[in-house]
Amino acid sequence: MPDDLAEIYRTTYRALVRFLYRKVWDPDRAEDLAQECFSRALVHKPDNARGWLFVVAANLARDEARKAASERRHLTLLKSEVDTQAPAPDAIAEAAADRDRVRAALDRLTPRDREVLLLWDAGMNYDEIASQTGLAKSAIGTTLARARKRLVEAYEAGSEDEHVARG
Amino acid sequence: MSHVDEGLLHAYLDGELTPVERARVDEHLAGCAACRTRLDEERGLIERACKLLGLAMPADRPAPPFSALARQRRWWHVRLPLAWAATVILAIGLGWKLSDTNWGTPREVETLGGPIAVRQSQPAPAQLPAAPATGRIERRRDQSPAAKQTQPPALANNAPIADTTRAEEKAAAPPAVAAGAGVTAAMPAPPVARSRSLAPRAQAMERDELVTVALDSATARAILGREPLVIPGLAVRRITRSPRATDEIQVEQALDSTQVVVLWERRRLGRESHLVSDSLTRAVEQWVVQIQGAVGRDSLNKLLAKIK
Repeated sequence: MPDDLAEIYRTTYRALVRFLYRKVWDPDRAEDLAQECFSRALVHKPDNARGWLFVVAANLARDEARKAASERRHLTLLKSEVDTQAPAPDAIAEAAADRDRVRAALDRLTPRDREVLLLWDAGMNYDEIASQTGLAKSAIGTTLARARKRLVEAYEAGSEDEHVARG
Repeated sequence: MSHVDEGLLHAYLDGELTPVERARVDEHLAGCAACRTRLDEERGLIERACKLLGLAMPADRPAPPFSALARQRRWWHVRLPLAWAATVILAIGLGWKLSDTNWGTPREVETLGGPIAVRQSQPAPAQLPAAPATGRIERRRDQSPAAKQTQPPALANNAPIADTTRAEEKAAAPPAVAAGAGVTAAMPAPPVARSRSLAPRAQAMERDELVTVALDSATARAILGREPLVIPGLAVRRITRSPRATDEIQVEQALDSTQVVVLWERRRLGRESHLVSDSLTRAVEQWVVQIQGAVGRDSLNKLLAKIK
């Protein structure tokens, strides 16, 4: 099992971090949670380790989101202080703005659509996504089509709103 | 075959169709320009969505080696039980410390008309000499002037009755009460009404072992069979019945205006052939004396050694 898990770690770790990052939006925290998932896998030794890891990751991210919700106000204040004290270079600021727009667009999706989209982007196939989400495999393509379309539309709508706001 | 729906097109583009399904879609696309157009649109949508998600990527940092993760896990395996063990030990230690502190620190002191008024359920030591009743009940926590009269016990013998009710009770007190409590009638009689009023208090004392009963030296002498042992040169502040046992007394002696040491004294039982050497306890002939105080252990030992 540790050998198998070591191989899964090698091939899946980055995908798991990416999956978690788009849920917690904190790269350090995403890595911490990803490592926590693998640590738990070492103890529980699940049969389908890869699927199991993403289930645990989703649960950890959900717990994290609940915790973050209560701290959001404080973090917002801190963030604004940092921004005023040390303005980021343009390229970094632009990347951060893009990320925020994608984040906002993802937030516009239904939880199920978002989950399917993120799982697909993390490298899971339709069978794994179906097993993970409880959807029929035949419904995954339709769900993904809808999620992709809404993501693009929400992103572009958000960009247009920003342009309008800037005048 | 009818037109290919979005879901099937995405599954086709994602490479998630079975060979049979894929062959059917290919066959349809070959003859349907509209579906080919939609296929291109959906391909563009997928690329766009993929690109957007690529804008929200964490920094590409190398993954820590798996072996480090496994080591970390093993360390947790050890650390968690260790943490639990430390917690349990801390709890036990704290409990022991608290209990150790409590038994030597009376919360309440009451001065009564003699030991029998409080410990009626327990036989008094034989041949108790005359022990004048103090005639007052007071609490250490009480800051009234009357409360301060409890010390030293010898002075309490002549203390006035605190209120008229008690004076009346004392006047009506038959001497037989003391005898009924198992003590020789030589003791001045505690009042009947007072004994009755003390009963609930005595029961409370039975429940609360931190209660001590101030004694006069004669009663203490009756319990021990000799004068209480004291540390020479230190003023005796109080002699009380020990809350730990009816045949034990405690003597408080002042080191200075703020420091007090307490001696616990009782007759040495026949089965006590040895004493714990490190418990600040000393045998003096057929008596056992234990010392406690907020000073160093060495100092306590030296004080204990002074007792002859």
